[in-house]
Amino acid sequence: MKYSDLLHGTLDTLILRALADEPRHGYAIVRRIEAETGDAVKVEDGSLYPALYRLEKKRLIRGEWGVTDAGRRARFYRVTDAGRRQLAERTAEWERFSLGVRRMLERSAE
Amino acid sequence: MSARRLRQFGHNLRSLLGWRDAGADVREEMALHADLRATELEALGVAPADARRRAEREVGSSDRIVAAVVPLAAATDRASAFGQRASEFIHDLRHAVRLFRRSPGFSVVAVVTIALGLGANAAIFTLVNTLFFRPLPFDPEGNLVRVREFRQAADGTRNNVDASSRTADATAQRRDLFTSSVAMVGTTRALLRDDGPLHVQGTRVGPGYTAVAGVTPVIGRTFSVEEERTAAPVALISHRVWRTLFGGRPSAIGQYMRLDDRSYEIVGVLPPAFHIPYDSEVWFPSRFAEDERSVFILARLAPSVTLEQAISGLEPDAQRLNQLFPDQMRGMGITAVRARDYFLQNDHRVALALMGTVGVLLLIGCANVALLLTTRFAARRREVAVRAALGCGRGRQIRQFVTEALLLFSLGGALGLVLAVWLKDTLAVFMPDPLATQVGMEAMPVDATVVFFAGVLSVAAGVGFGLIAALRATRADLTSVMKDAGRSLAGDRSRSTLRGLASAEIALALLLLTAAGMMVETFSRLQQRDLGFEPRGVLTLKAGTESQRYADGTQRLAFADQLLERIRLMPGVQAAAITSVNPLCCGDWGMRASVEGIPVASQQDLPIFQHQLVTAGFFDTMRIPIVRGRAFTPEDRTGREPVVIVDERAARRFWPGQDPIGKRVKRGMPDGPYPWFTVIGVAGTIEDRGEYTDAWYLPLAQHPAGPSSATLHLMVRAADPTALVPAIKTASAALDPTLALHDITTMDAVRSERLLQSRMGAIVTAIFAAAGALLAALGLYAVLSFVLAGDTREIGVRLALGATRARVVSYVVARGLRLAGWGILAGVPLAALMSAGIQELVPEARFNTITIVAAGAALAIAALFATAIPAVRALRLNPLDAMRAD
Repeated sequence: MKYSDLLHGTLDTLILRALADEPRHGYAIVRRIEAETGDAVKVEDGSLYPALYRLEKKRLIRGEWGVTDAGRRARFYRVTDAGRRQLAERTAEWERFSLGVRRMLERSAE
Repeated sequence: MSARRLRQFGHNLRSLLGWRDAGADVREEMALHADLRATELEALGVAPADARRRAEREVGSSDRIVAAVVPLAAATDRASAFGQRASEFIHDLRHAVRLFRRSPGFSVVAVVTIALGLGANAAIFTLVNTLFFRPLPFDPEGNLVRVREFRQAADGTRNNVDASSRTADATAQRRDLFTSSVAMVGTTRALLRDDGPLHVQGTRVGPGYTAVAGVTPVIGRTFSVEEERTAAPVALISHRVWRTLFGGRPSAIGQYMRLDDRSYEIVGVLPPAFHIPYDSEVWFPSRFAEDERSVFILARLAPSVTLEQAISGLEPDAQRLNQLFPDQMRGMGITAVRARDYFLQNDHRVALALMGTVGVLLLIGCANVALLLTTRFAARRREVAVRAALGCGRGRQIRQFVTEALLLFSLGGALGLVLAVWLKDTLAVFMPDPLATQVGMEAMPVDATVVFFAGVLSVAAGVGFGLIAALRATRADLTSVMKDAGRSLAGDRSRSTLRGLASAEIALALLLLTAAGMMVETFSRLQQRDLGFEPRGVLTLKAGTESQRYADGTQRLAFADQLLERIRLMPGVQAAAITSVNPLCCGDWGMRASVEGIPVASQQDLPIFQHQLVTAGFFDTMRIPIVRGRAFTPEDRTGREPVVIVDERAARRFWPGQDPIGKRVKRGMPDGPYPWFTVIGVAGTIEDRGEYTDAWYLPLAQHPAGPSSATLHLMVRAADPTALVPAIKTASAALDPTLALHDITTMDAVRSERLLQSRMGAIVTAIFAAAGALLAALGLYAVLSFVLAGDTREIGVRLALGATRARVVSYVVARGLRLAGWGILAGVPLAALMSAGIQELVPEARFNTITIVAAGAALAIAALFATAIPAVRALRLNPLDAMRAD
């Protein structure tokens, strides 16, 4: 996988990860990503929904209408089986990539 | 109602109807997100207006983003909707299979009914498909045409005539219209073998025959250019001749065969079932005289030239020929016809009539299945109501029912195709002659088109008739079901659907019976018709006298006289004669003639006589009455006064109210070169001779080389005609061992052959009609049983209140007959309409009231039988049980 693809796919992977434990609506996904990454990753303005619908079209996640705790209608997304496989692959790739980068950076610091 | 609730309502409505508005969904989703984010920002101390703006920017609620997202969402929706439908369909299908397994009797009856209807339709369609859609085997592009000539009379009527070699040359030179063309002339030859002469149909062909006709020899080769140029003695033979005369051995190539007085080397064998033109069996290269007649021209249209363009493009050539040869070519025009249309020769009408009949049969069968389905669905009214109450939409329920119907019709259709494969061969008799014998299309395969036809028909019928039943079944609502639960199996609405279907079936059955009645009546009329002569007891043989030996005609005459003399001496022979035309077959030989005292302006305005040369004894042999004057005698020969016998119709037309004896007629214009013939007798009219209505007979002895084909038709009347064949063959061989006698048969057989299509048409429609009537009666029976099952209580009450059994029975019978009556009433005008259509397709057919009355009566009787069982059942009812009936 090319470097640019890897970065580009980051948001998708993070969304999948954010949904891995339970279904969430859009706002909750953003909150989750920001909390988990310690605010290191900010979801770029206006990029969430195109990503969500793209993932849904690829059948990696599935949206269904439900009701929030506050009683408002919201679309909750959950990861499909295909999404979980994708998440596992991406995670492995990312680990290989970051391990490589870290090795390189640490060595040159010596 | 707030805007949000309104939106909510709209959303509910949309999802109820099964569609979603993707754009609205996306906006709603983003609005929620923005609201939550704005609240969060406000809690962090951002000013409300700023918080909202920032939240919306982060979420991306701009139109640009929404516009990018909506198509994605919509595509996902469509895909999932399709998946949903597909999984529902599979679910319905499983459900249907389970239901059918639970009532195998019903399923089998329904599937078999559909299979019979669809099988009959698919079988007839194999015929229609072959006639109209399948390409000719040697003409896949459909650009092969036959070029013909016509003569236009002063009154504008056109007569197609054989082409001349001049037209063939003109066609060959028009490379802008035709890529290639070939001229050929049919000729009968005697193929001489050790065991005697054999008649074969041969064709003299011009250069490029096989290329234009689109065939390649299966073994051997075609003619070389050099052979074609020099008209070398080489021949191609048909597959049939190769198989029967040469044992199908490859060694036939290179062998010599003698045709009349010349030997030909066999160079190739053409593919099976290829006999173009005119049932040809051998082909050899030939050169044509400059003004040869009876030329058969085939040509290939140039790419992108239409038939119409070719015809109008040939007009200048026709005009040129008109000017160059005013004598022979006056009023001449050139036209062309597609090979397919030529071979079809308008003979597709019976096939269309059959297709219509079998279509009606299918409708009856489908109506019957719809009836069965309606009663089945009606019995599930409670299930429907409960499911509806539990939120199952009507559309969903209809889909479920239609899926059941589709399953039945698909099974029936598949079984029907199997049936069609088995049925279709019996229909080969309806194949028009040239298509079957010259082109070899009698196979009529069940090909992709036929399968497609059957598939479309099954699905359309399944959906259509399934809907009829489903729409009724799903209209139930819970309260009405609960209210009349236990009272009647079906509501009045189901009953009216059932009654409508039963009546419609009776009406359709009336159509079928009327059609069958017409076909049967036509056939029996044709068979019993007085032809004007007696075909029974007459043997007919053809003697081909084309060899050079008979070129001057007197030899031919001598041969004819001697042969007849010998035959008349044979035991059992009552009379024998020779004629140029068989009155039962292919009798169109017209001749323009002048009638003394009736002036005409030009050659084109002369009346045309059906022209026939006969020997003395012809009228005796055929038992054609001589109503005035006398028949020919051996004294009517060359050197004596030229005489003629006309038929009654000609006598009435040309000399109304006068004695025709002694009047004079002549060939061609009154001032023409031919002698006048004196009328010496009037013969009875022979019916159905073809194009020309007025006939004349000339003594063969006065026209030995006269305008006649080289084939003599021998007619022998005897007590046991076929027993004479060996003796006649011996007699002929003694006179001329090289002369081939062929087409030996009886006139009776020729007649049956001619009536074969009519007979088969009558048989097939009669079978269809009987099946239709039976199905309609079964439908009526089913409806009555069902309706009465619902009326059991009412009948019980009536019985308890003192109604007599007779009244109950008459109540039941009256119900049945009323349904049948409505059907018959509705069927009569339809049958009248249809009979007009049948007359269009089968001109001999006649519509009469008796046919329709008989059809109606037959149906009324069938209806009576259909009511018998339910009536007996009503008769046996015990009032107490009946009143308690569920």
